[in-house]
Amino acid sequence: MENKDPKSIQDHLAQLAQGKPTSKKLVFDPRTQELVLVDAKAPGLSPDTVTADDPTRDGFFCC
Amino acid sequence: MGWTSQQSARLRLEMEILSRYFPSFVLKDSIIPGRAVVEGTMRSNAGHEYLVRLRVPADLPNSVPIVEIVSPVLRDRFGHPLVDLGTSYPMHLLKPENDVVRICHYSASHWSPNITFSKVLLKVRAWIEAYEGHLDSGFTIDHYLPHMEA
Repeated sequence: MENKDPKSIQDHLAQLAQGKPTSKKLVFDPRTQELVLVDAKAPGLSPDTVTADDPTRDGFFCC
Repeated sequence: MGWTSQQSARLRLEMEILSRYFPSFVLKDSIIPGRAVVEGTMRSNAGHEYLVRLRVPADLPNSVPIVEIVSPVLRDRFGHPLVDLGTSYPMHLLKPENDVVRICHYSASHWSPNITFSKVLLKVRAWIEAYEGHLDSGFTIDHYLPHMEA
């Protein structure tokens, strides 16, 4: 099931940042330019969607 | 001196990828290395728009591109302009120039020439969502986006 709610997405990012396990996966849908939370094992995503979790999991450099 | 043929090919490839993933982004001032920028609008899931500028490095693809949020003027939860923070570790900000916020995304030591503008912009897209989380919650952006390992 897709979830585009900003608060849910921010909570997901926070969970990842804190190294907590999550059953969701964050993807970017280029058609709508939205970030979308989906079940990690969900099939049938649009072929254009890209996983947004990995780039965020890589971390951000500062400073 | 202009772009080398390899750099021109890389720029074409970058724009081809962006046309698929971030189609609002266009290349400007592309003739002169060091002045070229890729600019476009990102919209958060809450519907707020941000004008984002990626400065194409003159030594493309060997350096980390600078990414700026040109508009709106970004403020923290308390109304203070983010540029006033200068370099900010918890907010993932580099030292601003010309009163424009610069996002820290990759370090030079983590940069690889095979990283595309599209991947950089995907990180910026996540930064924007985290920024709006900061506005709602007061948590700094590194609450949502971790730091790179040294």
